[in-house]
Amino acid sequence: MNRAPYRSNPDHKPRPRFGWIPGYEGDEIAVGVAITLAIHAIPIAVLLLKAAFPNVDPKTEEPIVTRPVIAASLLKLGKPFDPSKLPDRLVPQARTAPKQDVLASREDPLKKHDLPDAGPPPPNTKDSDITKLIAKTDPFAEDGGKARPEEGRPEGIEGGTETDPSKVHAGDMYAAKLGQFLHDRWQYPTVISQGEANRLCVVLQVSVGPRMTLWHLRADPVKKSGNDLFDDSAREMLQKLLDDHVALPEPPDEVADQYRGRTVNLLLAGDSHGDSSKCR
Amino acid sequence: MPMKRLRFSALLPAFAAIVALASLPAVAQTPPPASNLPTVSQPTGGAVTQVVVSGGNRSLFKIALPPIMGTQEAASAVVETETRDYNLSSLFQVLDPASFTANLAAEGTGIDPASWRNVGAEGVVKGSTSTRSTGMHVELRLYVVSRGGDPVLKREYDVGPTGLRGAVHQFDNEVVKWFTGTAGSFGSRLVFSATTGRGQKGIFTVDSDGQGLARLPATSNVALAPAFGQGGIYYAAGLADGSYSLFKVGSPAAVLQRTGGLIFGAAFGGGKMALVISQGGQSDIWVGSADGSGLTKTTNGGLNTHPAFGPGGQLAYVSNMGGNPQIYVDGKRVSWRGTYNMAPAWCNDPEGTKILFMGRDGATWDIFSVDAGGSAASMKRLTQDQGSNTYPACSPDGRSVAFFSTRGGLFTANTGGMNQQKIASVTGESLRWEGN
Repeated sequence: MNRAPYRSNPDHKPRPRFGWIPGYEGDEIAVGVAITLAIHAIPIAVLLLKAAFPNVDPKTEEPIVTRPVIAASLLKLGKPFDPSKLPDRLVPQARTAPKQDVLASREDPLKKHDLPDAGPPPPNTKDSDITKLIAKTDPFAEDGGKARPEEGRPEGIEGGTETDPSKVHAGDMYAAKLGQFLHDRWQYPTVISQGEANRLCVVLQVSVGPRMTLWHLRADPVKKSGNDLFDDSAREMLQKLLDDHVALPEPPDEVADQYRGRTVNLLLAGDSHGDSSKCR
Repeated sequence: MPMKRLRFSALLPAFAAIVALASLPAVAQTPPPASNLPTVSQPTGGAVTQVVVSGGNRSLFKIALPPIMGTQEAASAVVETETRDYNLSSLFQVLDPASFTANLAAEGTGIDPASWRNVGAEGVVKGSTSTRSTGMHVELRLYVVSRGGDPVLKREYDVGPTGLRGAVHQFDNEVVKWFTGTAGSFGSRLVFSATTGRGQKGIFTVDSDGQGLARLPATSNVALAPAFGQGGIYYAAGLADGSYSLFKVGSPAAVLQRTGGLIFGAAFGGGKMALVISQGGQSDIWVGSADGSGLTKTTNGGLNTHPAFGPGGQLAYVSNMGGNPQIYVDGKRVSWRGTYNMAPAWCNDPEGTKILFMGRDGATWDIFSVDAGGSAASMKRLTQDQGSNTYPACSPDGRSVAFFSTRGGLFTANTGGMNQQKIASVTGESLRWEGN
């Protein structure tokens, strides 16, 4: 069997199966080179451009937009105000009480030693390592006494602050919750009177991670209050949250974008009614 | 030829797609048009969320009072006085010396901040005493641990043999001023009257830390309602003829007598004097110059007692003009809760001027405060279920309240009624605080 070579048989014309013609024309080669260059060169060029001109990104030229969150104002749970009755004394019923270190006068010219004694003094601090570790303490808490309802409204809620229903306003419930979370952990010294604290506000900036833990605290306040002890107390509170990897409360899905993985400005105001106008 | 054109044109979409892919990141980074800016719940990449945290908790400033250098007796007196002052101030928490880890001998009058930070101290007071020919030289220093090893306050005093406590009070007042801007009231005095026998009353003085309780000399065995006035302490005294006149401690002669009227008490302030004068079964408030001249009746009969001048010269007093005894300021009622309120005392509280008074609740009395404006909602209760508590007085700096309690003595507290501490085992009435 003698097989004639394909090329040697001029009568044999193979049927073309697809439009393929071996060999390239000059323009085809040019297009191929252009595509190859485009694939490799364009991303490299973009990277080089960004490295050489970092400010050309229009996004970074935008001023940082601060978006305040209007926290909800909540009605305080309690009994209604009754002007016909004397008010009750409100005593913090917390875990610690001040030590009774002060001695009574040793002098008593009236010799009234038979007077009824004051009874057992307020108990001393029930110190324990656990108690000491709990940040929230009230310096003048008393263990004794009745827990009386504060003046508020029966329709109010625990953690509410407003006793006047007309001052309650709608807002972001999560912001209120986050504000309360930080409020509970923040202590500033009593050498700052409440009246002075009402005039103070410090703005600190934190970065919140995807798991709602703080991963960065800006070294200097965005805005100082003018009282270093006040600013230090706020900063120490946030630093402790950062160091201890304490997670902030989980935000609901609808507002998570505002907090998770974001930079947050915290306006820490000494005014207990949330007047942050001193931060502006 | 047509075949070649077809093939080339077929490559063009692929080329366009590749170019588009290469430029995709740039498209994605383009900011949305202004009209499509996201709402608050969908902030842009550059937005900073802003959250308000209102009103933290207040904690006592933790202060360490290690032994000072000098003689044992003087060092003990200094630390004891400091400890009492700071505890009563309601501003500081004095740390237990047993917890100190600092090497005091090596530190001398300086501090190693790390040693004090480790034990939770926020402030440290150090000092030294040395004997001089005229008495004693005292040097005291305040350190704020967060400010490093340099003192933020340093004072030196040369005192006589009995002046050590006074020097420490003075330094403690400066410490309070360094922190708050206004000096403390350590070392000030209170006066009051107390029963000394059947039908007899005397007047007494006591330091604001409970030390130095002493009876003051009086012309009569019935000495009432002492008050600080020009150049001394004044009081009303019942005389043998049944009259009551105004006297000054140390002076046997009456300062003021009223024919046909009984003077039952006085108050001084704003260059004026107010007297309680009982006449014809009525008790009225009369106001005149500090020397007692130009007295004018300011009330219209009934029961009007317990005058007290405020920081602006306002006059608070008790009157039953509305039916029950209530607190009035310049004729305007300010106590709107309760049925029997009396003994007003002004308090120049840094958080707002207040009026303290005692109110009857059933069978007992308690201490209340109300804003000078007198709104019912501003009325606060300082004592409750703690025996009967009477005759409040306020410190000159407006940070402390003193009152008598059936718990067995003279108590002090802050203006919220917290940090109640018995400073002396004595009870009485008509309590007044020097300088207020």
